[in-house]
Amino acid sequence: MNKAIRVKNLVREYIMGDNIIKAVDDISFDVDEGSFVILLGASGAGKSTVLNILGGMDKPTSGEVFVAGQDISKYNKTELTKYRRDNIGFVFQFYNLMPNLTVVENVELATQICTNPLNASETLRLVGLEERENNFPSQISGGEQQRVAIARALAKNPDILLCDEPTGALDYKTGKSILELLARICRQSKKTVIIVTHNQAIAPIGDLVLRMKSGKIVSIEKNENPIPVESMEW
Amino acid sequence: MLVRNFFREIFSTLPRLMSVIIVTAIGVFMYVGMSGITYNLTLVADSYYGGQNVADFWISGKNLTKLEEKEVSRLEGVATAQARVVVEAQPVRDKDVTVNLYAVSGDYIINKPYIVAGRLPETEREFALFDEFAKAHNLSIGDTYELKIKDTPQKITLTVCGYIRSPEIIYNVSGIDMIPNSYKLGFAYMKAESLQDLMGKNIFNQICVKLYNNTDEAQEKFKRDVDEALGEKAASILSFKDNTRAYMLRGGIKEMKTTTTSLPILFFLISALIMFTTMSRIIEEARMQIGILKALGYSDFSIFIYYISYAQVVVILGVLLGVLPSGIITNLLISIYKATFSMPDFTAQFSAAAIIQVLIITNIFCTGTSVYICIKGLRDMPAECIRPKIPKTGNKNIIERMSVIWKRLTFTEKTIIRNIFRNKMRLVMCVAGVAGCMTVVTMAFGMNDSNYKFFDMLFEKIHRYDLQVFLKADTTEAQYRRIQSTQGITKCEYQMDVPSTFSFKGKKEGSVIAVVEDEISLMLLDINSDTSMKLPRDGAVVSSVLAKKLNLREGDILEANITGKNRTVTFKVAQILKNINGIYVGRTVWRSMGQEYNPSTIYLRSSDSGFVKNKIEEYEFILSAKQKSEIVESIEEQLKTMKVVMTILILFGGVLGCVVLYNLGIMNYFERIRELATLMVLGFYDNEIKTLVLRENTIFTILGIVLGIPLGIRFQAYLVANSETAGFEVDSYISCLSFFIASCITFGFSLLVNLSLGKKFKEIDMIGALKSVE
Ligand SMILES: Nc1ncnc2c1ncn2[C@@H]1O[C@H](COP(=O)(O)OP(=O)(O)OP(=O)(O)O)[C@@H](O)[C@H]1O
Ligand SMILES: [Mg+2]
Repeated sequence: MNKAIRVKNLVREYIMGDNIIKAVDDISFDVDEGSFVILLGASGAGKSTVLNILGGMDKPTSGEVFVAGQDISKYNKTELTKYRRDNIGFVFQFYNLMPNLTVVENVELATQICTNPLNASETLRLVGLEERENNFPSQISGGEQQRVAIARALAKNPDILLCDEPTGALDYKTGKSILELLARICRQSKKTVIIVTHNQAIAPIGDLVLRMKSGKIVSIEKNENPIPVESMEW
Repeated sequence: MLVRNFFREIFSTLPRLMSVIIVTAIGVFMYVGMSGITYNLTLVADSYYGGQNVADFWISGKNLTKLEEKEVSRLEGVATAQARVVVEAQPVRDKDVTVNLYAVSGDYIINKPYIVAGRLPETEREFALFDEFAKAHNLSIGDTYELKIKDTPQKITLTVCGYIRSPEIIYNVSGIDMIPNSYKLGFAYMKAESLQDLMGKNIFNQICVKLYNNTDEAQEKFKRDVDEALGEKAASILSFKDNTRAYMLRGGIKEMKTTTTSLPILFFLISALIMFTTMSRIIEEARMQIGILKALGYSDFSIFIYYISYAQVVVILGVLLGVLPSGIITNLLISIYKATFSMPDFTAQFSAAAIIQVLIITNIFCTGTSVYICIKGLRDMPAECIRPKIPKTGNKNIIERMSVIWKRLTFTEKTIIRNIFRNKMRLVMCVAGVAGCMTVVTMAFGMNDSNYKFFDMLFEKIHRYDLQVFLKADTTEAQYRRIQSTQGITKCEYQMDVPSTFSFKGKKEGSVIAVVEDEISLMLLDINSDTSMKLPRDGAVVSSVLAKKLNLREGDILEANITGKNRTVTFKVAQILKNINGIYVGRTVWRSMGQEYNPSTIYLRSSDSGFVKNKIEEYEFILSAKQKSEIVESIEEQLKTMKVVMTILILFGGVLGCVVLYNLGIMNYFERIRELATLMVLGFYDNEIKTLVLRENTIFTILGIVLGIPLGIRFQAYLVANSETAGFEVDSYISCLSFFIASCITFGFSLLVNLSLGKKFKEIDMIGALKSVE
């Protein structure tokens, strides 16, 4: 199987006055194309930092990050922007929708800049929001807003979908339905999906589970038979 | 703890706080600076006129003695009267130079000279000389100076004992020239004994009068009383208001008042709006903090004080930063006045009243706003405050409802329009700010255009002579004929000016009757008459300014009291015209009323006016001759002052517009930093983001310019209507080119703002912006 992502000796340091904080401390891992990855760890472990680097929003202090064979750690600002534009879909804990664009327009916002986008309305149907197309974000619930955010990331037709605590602001049931959606997307459209969470209970649903602690990866666990999201409990 | 939080908060809102402070400072700067001009000049005028006891009236006549002086001083309402000798002299060698000599016996009581250096004359061999004249002629204290009394062979030699200035000659002009010239024109104060040989002992030719109350009624009564008491002995009575050389300072202040009050108010209004919006926005955002403080148990009062102190930072810094440099603008404009008017030197002071006004207004807008928002916030329960404010549900805007148009727009355009309509307050503020900038800039150009157009028209359509000649009083028939027959003159028209007080239905106004030829072609009255104009046979032509003041309409009967003659004539108002001064009558009409006619101004047409001028100047009965080009030049000199004012206006109007746009732009930037970060994450390039966000500013600018044009026209018309230029009614006019340049300047300023805002985009920290909850 092709490697979608190869991370080699990745280090990200923050300099705070005299202190150097190693948010990511020499980690290496590979991700197969089309796999459903769960990145686990306590608060402050460095998960978001890894995800931001993978998403081209941040640059490593040292180490290499290959995405589809290209070393993105060497990219300059414009190249990184192009990389985010064409290869990456990002979903945040806080949905970060444009408050003054309708649901469908929020999705179109992403599709209009892509070379190979999906149809906005179709994507919304995929996340089950075809009825709310013309509502504004303030008129729909948090879970629905997160669905819009996922649709927006998805509609760009990216290779990789990165989700930072996508269920963090949602209740159990809604969170579960979001995970279900992400899993379905991963299985159906063969996209690589990485989900960052501190919730241990989510681990069994992933093909690959990475555990982080204080900037280091403490375990890499391949799951040959991930359980379906519906049967997961937390 | 609250104190530490206070400083943190100031720091975290610094960019916006700074821009409110700057806007406040600009408003304050213009307000205090501009009102400082009238304030300081009024202060100086009051103390100078008052301290030197400037006369209310100058009565001229031949052979006046101490007897007449006493008679006048006994008249009702008269505080003091002082007789003196006034003669014109010239240096023996330099015929071009005139020195007016003022001599009293005893001390100066009225029109006391202001001593710049040295002292007043103590013996008949000394005199005190106008300092600028002395400087121009290199005369030091102790030097002797030989003068020839004009029209006599008499010469006197005097020693300069001091440098002086005079409250009755603040504007040192001869009455013919319009620009002060301290080389060609000087004056000196001396003892009457110095001129005894010339006049005879205790013989005077002028009495200066000071009234107790200088009201209009007192003046009228005084004039009548003098006519009665002195009769023919008083050849003329000149009032303070009609004495240009003395009155010019006071008159100048009056003329300027509209501009110096309305302009800064316009500026201040714009900055007040900004204060209001920014302060309300900053504090609005602090709602959550109010909730937290309340939940922690801080009393309403201490929270209240907290936000009032926050507003005070803006008030104190804004006012301080505005007031301190405001002296620059005051001094700049005052220096123009100092150059034209000779008055005691002074350093401009801050007007306490203006500073207090400014403090009150900024407090109303800054502190008032934060108190209002604070009270609103405190009324809520802590829990409500802590929850972020629910965003308004998106309503469809006007353009969206017009689905035909909406469908045609690209996605980016839709987004931009949505954003514009999302925050209507910002839309209004931005457009108002740019419109304000545009108004000020347009107006500045308009002032220039109107004046130039007016003077162009004046010299092209009205002044059609080549040479203007002023004659001395008592010119004889033979002398008139002599001028007329001078070689090279192709046309010749006479004019007599009769200073009078006009009255109509209880209203009174001083002005001049100009008695002109029955058909005039060299000095026309109407821009629409082509080569010549016939004066009405049954009445007079009245200037629209005078008509407005007296509420006259065509057909009314106007009464004129000839100054110093105690004679009243009546005219029918046959025509009212703009662009003239006072009233005009044909000489046949004038003669038919039984009035004497001895003109003192002649307009000449000649193919070689330089030659004719030289020739005419040799005649001893000529006061002066001026070529049209010289007159045009002197007017252009006057217009320079206006250029300075114009530049200041454009500069500050622009800066204000800039700050408004920047302020709102940066507010927009901070409010939408999350959205901008999201766009970046989605992979939008910098330029695309700039288009999305900054295009708005461009649209605001265009709207502002479009709105600013009519506002500029209105405001300019208002200014022109309220400040007559030299007694004329000037038409408000702004050329297309000016509109274009004003628009370009405004647009340029807005581009500048966009450029600096664009730079800010590079600083956005995507991760940081998206991490937190709003
Ligand atoms: N901009 C920054 N400046 C300094 N230190 C930072 C910065 N961003 C992150 N860190 C530090 O790096 C470490 C890892 O941060 P990161 O946000 O990746 O953690 P996380 O695993 O995502 O935690 P959480 O689950 O709370 O989101 C933390 O100790 C944090 O303090
Ligand atoms: Mg995180």
